[in-house]
Amino acid sequence: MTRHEASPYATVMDDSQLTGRPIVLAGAGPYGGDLEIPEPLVTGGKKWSDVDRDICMHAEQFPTKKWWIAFSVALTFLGVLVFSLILLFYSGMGILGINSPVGWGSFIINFVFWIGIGHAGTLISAVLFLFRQQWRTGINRAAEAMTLFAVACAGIFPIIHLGRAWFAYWLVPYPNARGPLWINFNSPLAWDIFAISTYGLVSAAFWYVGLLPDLATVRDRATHPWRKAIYNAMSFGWTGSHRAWRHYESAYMILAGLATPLVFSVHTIVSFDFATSVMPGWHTTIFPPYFVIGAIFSGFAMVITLMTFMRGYFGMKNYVTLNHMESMAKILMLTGMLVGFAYSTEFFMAWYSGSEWEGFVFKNRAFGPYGWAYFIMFTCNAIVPQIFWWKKMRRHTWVLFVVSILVNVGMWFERYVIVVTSLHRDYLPSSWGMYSLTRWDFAILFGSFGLFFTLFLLFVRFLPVVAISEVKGVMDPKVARSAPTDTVAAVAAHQEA
Amino acid sequence: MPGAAAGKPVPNPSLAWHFLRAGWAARLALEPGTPAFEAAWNEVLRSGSFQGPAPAAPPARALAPAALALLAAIPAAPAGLELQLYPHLALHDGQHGNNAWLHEFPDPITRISWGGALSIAPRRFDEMKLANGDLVEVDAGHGKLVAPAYRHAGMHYDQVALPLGLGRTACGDIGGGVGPNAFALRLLAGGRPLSAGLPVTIRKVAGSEALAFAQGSDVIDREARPLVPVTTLSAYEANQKSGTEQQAGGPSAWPEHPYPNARWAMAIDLSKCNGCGKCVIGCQAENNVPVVGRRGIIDGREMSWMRIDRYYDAPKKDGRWDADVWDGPLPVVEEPQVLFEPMLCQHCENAPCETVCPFVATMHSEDGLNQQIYNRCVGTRYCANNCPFKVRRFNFWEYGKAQESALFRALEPRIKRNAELNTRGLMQMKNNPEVTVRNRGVMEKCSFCIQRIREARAEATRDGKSKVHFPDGAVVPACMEACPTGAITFGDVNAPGSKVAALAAHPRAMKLLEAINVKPSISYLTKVRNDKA
Amino acid sequence: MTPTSNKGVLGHFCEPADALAAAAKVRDAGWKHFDFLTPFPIHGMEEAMGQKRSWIPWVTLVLALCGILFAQGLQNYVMIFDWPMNFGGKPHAAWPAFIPITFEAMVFWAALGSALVAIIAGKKDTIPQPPPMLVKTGATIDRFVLWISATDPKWNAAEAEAFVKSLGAHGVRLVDVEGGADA
Repeated sequence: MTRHEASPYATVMDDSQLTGRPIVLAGAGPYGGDLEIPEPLVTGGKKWSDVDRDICMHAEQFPTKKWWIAFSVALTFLGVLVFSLILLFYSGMGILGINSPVGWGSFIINFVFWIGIGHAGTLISAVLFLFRQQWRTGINRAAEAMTLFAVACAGIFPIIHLGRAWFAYWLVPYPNARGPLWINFNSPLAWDIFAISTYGLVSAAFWYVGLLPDLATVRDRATHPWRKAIYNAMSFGWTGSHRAWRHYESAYMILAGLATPLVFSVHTIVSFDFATSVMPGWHTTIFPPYFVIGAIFSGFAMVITLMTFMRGYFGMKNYVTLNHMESMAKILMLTGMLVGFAYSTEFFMAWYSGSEWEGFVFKNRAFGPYGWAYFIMFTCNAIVPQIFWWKKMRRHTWVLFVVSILVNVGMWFERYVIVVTSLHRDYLPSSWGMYSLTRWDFAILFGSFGLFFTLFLLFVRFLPVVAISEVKGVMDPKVARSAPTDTVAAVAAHQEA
Repeated sequence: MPGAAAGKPVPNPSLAWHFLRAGWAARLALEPGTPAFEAAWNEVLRSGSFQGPAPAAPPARALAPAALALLAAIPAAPAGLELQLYPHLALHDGQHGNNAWLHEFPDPITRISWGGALSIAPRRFDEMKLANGDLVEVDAGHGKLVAPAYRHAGMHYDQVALPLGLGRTACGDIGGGVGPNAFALRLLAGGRPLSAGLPVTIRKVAGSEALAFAQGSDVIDREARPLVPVTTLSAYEANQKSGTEQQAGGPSAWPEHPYPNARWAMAIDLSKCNGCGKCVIGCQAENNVPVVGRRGIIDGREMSWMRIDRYYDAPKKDGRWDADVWDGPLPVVEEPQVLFEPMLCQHCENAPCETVCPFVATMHSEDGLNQQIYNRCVGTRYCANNCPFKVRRFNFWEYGKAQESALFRALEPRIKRNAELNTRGLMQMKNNPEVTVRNRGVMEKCSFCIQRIREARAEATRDGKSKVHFPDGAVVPACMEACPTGAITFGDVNAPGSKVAALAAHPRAMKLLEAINVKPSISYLTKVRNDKA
Repeated sequence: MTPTSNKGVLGHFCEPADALAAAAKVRDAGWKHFDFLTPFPIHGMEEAMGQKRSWIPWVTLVLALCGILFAQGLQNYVMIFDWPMNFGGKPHAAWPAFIPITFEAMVFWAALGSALVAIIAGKKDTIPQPPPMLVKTGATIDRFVLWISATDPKWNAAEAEAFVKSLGAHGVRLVDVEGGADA
């Protein structure tokens, strides 16, 4: 993946000088034509030693005031979550808005929402790796961390939505004294536990394997012996030996190759929770690709949101450049258009199928009592990202940030529309009902964001937020190298500066 | 008997026997002790009856016009609006005001539980720009009352109606303060209470009160949703299967599971069902179904395992049912056709609920029942979501026992109400000891009274006959037992000659939602309306 | 066996291209116990160092098959033999329902197993005497470090030092550190 020959990227540019277009050198091509070279992935003329210093900074200094402010806000929301969950376990599911017929509400919406967000991180880490997209190196560490924390947030919902959550462990098929009584492998919820746990653990493994060299970097920069010892243990004594790199690269490639089908299969299995049911509006084969595309869409929006913070609030502009942001905006637009296409296909098939049940569900979705939710969903997901046809908008920080937030709002509403509208009016008109979120639903929804950001801020505090070794591999060696005569001590001194 | 063998008894006036004999002696005009008397006395005792002389013919009677003049003059029909007060179907005049089951039982026509509403004709309702639940003041001259309004299809334009029996204030925690007290509008005139034909005026006032409807939508478009088999007599005579038309299911990819022995099924004859709802209460009594209260019904957490859906046929437009009536009130239909459909767990052969429960809490038994295992249920509610009939009931709160913590009772007032409705004092005594009381977080539904089925099986085994098939009447579920018209038939469909098998095979029989291949065990027989009389 | 002292020659290069060229020369000169420590993997370094490709993919394949067998075994045993039940009229051998879990179990075993094996291999599959941890090599920062260990069959301190200097390495020095690699 990393190239040792002279970097094909242009040499030194500042973040503000980036245009997003390749640099054209007239007549410099091998046959006398124009030569196009891409702009550098790391701006500011950084050396490899600078990379270490810039990225490890947050993990090495005492947390900045900025970090504390953000962390206390996140902790507050986390506290709201914890309090609400205690009330829920002691009082019962009645404190939420679910009822008959709408037996699933905000918890399942949140579950699908968070799992979906996680998929973009894996796509960046694994799929873009297989496609040799070198710009992924600036964002893949934070994106994969986002995946892990999103999966952690998602994972609480299948447990807390249970009426008797203290028996959740019965879902694990282990030999027991109750028969042994196993699980029903026909049920998509049983598939879910295998899928989500696989996804969480494989993402964690992938992330951790990638972290090993960077943890060694942090260890080598550390002065306090405890810090050195901890990071040494965490990096399993990584020295940078190429014999180890060989196995590492092989494992990385394998993990990327295995994580790629996970991106598609896990959200497919989550979509099966709906697609294998008989409810009109749910019982449709479009759900697996629809969910997967939606997941990537919402995940990229969350990555853009987080990267905007990293660039601005945590000063990573030289590593996550505007070119990175533009590439992500392009992917966002592509997936947004696919999502819009999926909405249109659904609507078309509801009519074309001739199924009265299906046709009614779609008329109800758009024009019934939850039409407002459908409108928000459609606008935020299919219409708002169209602004990115304009290059200037793709490279405008505020536009990127606002659009990413709106996309996530829209994607939350997409799951709301899917879950609620199919349940609230199904086959028998006598069972039709309405659903609305109660204050505890809201508390737990916003509280889950608290959990996510708490974990993410802890990650920023203790671990390198950019994949140091991978970024070094895509920098031009002629620019990034240190002077040959520099001793290691001089290099260390330069780093401190 | 003392002295019976000894011959002549010694009279002892303090013995009741003597008293009795003396009375009969007077009636028979015979002396006690004489052979004639003894023979007649023994005959009376043996047969248990006494044929006396025929009474004289009663005197002829004739209406005395003078007597009629004693009655107060019937008031002339009022020119404007007329109020009708009717006894609440369950609470009657309010004497059962502290009975939670009867409050929870929804009125079969209005489907309102825990309260009552002023029924207003649709045209007048729309003219007054009301919505269900808006408060309306009824002024009868001698009294005023504010009550929530209800758009009652089929009411005469010049009539409004209110149920009596609600609005009690001193009847215990359950019935206190539920609904409007319509006795305030009853007129006492000439020593008699008048509760009909009272001239009133109504006007909308500010505010509204949510009505606890136990049903979602009232309207059904039977062409798009062939869920209630209805036909007319002429159509039935032409084609016996009329009314059962629906989209057929597709072929199955899998072979069916065999049911070689007893297999339970039910048939519900919609021509006999009059919507009285006794089956609902019977089921509640038998199966310890909790009461959720007004708040519970409004929140959509009804627990009744059985319900009687009441539909109005959607109005026809150009000969086709107008399906665009799902939102907003039913267009004004002067004579709505009311359809009742008892709905309970259909015990589907290909139950969508069983497939999706990951915890193995619901599966199909070898005798055709969809089983719900309460102690295994962890409450994902996936089964309830996947049920197309929405007959599964989830325990959102702890109804079976009171929540001890005062903190949580304070944080969540509904917990306190659940305790008042279900567990206070001696209320636990109402529970049927044969049936588990479910705790919170557990799903429940009609079990075809499995406790009665198991008892029948146990009896058969005890008698030394390992019964393969059960005759009619061996198992009678609570709903069938309670039904006054015999609309519900239950039995072993595999038993040769069983009634339920005959009904299921009848041309009038229809199983619901064949299009999605769920294969219910319950057959509905068409409601045949007499259009010829 | 952890050596109690680490002895060898250290030298570094500043560009990956230089290190790659040097590696080929070291391999061709017949050195066996040598290693390159780099901040990021260099493409082509395995061949230059005379290494074979990693064997981890074979492990992955075996683990994937184990995962498939495990999932199929569990599901079929449970649903057909141990306690077969009628769920919604579905057959006991519901093979379409078994597919998602089989796939996920395959990925689970393959991925986690491979990651674990890679971490262990990274530690175990190395030369008998790795470079001492006490010396700051800068290999995780920006140096491409060559280490020739004293355990090499043709070890000669002076010869090794001269050889490394001849490759164009900087900071060439003989290192003899007490306490071993895991100090």
